[in-house]
Amino acid sequence: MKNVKVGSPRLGGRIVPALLLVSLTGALLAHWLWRQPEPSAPRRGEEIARRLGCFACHGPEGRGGILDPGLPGAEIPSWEGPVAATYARDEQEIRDWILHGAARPRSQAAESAGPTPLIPMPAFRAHLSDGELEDLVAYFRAVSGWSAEIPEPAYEGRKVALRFGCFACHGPSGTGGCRNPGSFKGTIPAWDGAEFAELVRDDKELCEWILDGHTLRLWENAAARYFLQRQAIKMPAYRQHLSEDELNKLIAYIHWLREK
Amino acid sequence: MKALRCLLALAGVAALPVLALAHLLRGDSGPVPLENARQEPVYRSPNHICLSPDGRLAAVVNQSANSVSILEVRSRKVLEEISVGRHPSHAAFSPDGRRLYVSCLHEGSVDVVDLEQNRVLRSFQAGDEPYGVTVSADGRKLYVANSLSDTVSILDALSGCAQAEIPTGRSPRFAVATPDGSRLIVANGLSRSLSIIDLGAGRVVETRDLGRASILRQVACSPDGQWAFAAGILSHDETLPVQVERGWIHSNGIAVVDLARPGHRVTLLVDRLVAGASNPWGLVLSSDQRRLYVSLAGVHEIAIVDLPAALRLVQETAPEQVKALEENVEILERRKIARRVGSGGLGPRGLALSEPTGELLVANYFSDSIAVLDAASGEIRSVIPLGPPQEMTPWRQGELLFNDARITYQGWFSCASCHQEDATIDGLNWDLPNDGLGNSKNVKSLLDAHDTPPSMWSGVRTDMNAAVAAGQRFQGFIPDPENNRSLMAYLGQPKRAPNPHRGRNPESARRGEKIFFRAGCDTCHPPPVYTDLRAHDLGLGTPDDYRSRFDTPSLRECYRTPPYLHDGRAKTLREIFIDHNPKNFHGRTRGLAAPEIEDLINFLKTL
Repeated sequence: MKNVKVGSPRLGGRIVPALLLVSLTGALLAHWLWRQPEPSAPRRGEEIARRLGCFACHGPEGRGGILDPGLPGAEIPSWEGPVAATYARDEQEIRDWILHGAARPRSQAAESAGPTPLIPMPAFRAHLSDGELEDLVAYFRAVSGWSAEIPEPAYEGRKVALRFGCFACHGPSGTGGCRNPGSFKGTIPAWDGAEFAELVRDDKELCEWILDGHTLRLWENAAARYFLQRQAIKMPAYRQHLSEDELNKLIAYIHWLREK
Repeated sequence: MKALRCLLALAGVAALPVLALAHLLRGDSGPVPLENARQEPVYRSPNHICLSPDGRLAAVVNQSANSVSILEVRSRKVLEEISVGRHPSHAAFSPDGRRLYVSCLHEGSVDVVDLEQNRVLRSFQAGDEPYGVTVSADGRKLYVANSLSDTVSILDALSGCAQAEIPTGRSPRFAVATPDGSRLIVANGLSRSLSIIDLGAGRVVETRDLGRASILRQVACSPDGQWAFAAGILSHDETLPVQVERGWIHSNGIAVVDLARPGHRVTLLVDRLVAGASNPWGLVLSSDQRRLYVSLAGVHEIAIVDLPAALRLVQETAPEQVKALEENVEILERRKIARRVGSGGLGPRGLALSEPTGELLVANYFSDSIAVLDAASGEIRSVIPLGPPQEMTPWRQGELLFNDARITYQGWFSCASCHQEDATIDGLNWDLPNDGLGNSKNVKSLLDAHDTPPSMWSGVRTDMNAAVAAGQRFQGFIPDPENNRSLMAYLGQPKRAPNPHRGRNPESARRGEKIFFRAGCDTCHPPPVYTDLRAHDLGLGTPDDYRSRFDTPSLRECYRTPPYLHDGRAKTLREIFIDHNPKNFHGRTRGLAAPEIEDLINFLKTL
């Protein structure tokens, strides 16, 4: 609105309203774009997983639970980290599973005929571009918590997040994405990215978010408070439920996610 | 003439190998060839000594040299050295004194030595890792404590036929028959108890709880058949190991049990207030029941116990006083019940009492010698070397330090007090403060430490060097660089015992190997060391653990190291898969049929 220039008195009668209209449209468009969720790799990966039908067998969000009477455990593996770890040693093998429906055999013994699954893993190489594969792997990584080098406090922080159900709203591994009508962006923020940087300036603010459900800085800002109060899902205040140790581990995990 | 010269030359050529052979046979007395000098010296490592029924001869079991030395007691001379099977541990004479039965730990057999021909006549099949061997009074039966099979074998002394194999507690080490021959008292090395076997019925009739006893060694029965005595450590694994002094971590003593009163037990410590009596091992009684001798392998001493005074104390101890007495490190000295004397060498283990000469013979493992002590005063009369003096290699020095309580504050314990003399395990959970308090962890075998960093379940030590240094600090001293070097040499080149499970069930193990890979076990336990050296979360952590991930242990020698998992919650390999893998994280073993689990276990035991 500040950019609106006042035209010459002659043309003012028509140009000014036209300019005003254009500016208003531009501003609304910009605002709409600004409020759109960030299209992060894991979010794109989730869409791809849905498109490829991954959840049909691996369960919603890869949580498992679909029967395969042919397997010794009688269940199609979930994407839970420790389960996935018994199928793949590294991310390359995850890619092999997705593309070829099998990882390369680890040894002679592994090649030996065991029980054959009734529902074998399909090969998706014909249905995926390289970029899509990477997005899918990023989503898998978020769901499984798959990481070779996650240090001790960060790992324990992830366990705290799992236990308190943080990922239910903030998405697997805090990748965001859950809808929140009435909120500024319409979604629950991720634990990384531009929006996080806006909402959380330092550890003090991060603590405030977790313990009180908002930060003092935003609460005192009238516009921000408008959205905080209007949003359907409000960040709960965990002050009474989280120990200092758990809080520190959680913060260590969020730090690790952002440094990664 | 020419023909004669030819003949002489031929004779010379023929004589060469004969001379060379003679040179080799001369062994120690001749100059040592250069290539032999670089070889590992052969130590004798006397582990046990026993006397012939007439008291004239003593047989010494040389554990490292795979031999038995026959000594004449009066002349103190080594008469003969006889080769036997690998890693002999213990021996017993037949009542007629013509045969010697030698248990060979690494052969799974009992060698029968003929003492007229001085050679092994036969080898009887026993269980896995037979340790103690006992002959019945009539000489017809052998009782063999199979320390790895957790059984006692009863063998026919003439034919070697197995008549029975009786399950006992864990790792039975020694057994002694009561004088009337009706019962056998078995000291269980790793289960804090004695197994009392009724020999008529051929089964265990009582498992006598010994409280905090750990790493039990020799057991003896009083000549009147009323009492049994067992030497061992008292491990205070119930509390934090934070105070060495006054025996708060380990104290050392003898358990005294009244065989006629089921459940009776009184433990007398042979420690002193500021001087622990680390690692009681050998135990022998005088036939008049006046004295009891205990070798203290960690502090290189012998405790001489005034038995009537000790038994008076035992009898006046009410059941509710047993626990307090078990913690009293001053009682024996204060009441002048026991005194301690030097053992005349390093690492005293087996003891023999020669009553006609009034001498106590002590097998000093690390000195390669037998010390002759005055049985009354404890004065050293003589030391009999079992072979030429050998320089100690760093490995051997490390083995000594591992068993030596002199590197612990006030000599309360040695490395071997938790890891046994072979650097393995004591089967207990200890709450070391290095990973937070209130979360006991199962003792790990150190044989895997050198090539599977980091150390400890929580991985708090980056490698074995850090762990060995931390161990020395735990023992109360700043790590000594030279000691560190020796301990690293010893633990860095572990000499593993042969695995008796290899080749036992080849078909089953082959099937088990396929299951191992199919179930994804190799994800975290990849060959050749069977660990990926990383920490994993199998959902086994408790809130007390402060962490969810634990260092993946190597699977090598898992047949030797129960219980399993970081807090020892699985008593057997089977329990790991049946009871402690509900979410199928610890390998995809859910849905495996019972025979498939058996195959998998048979494979794991071969590692």
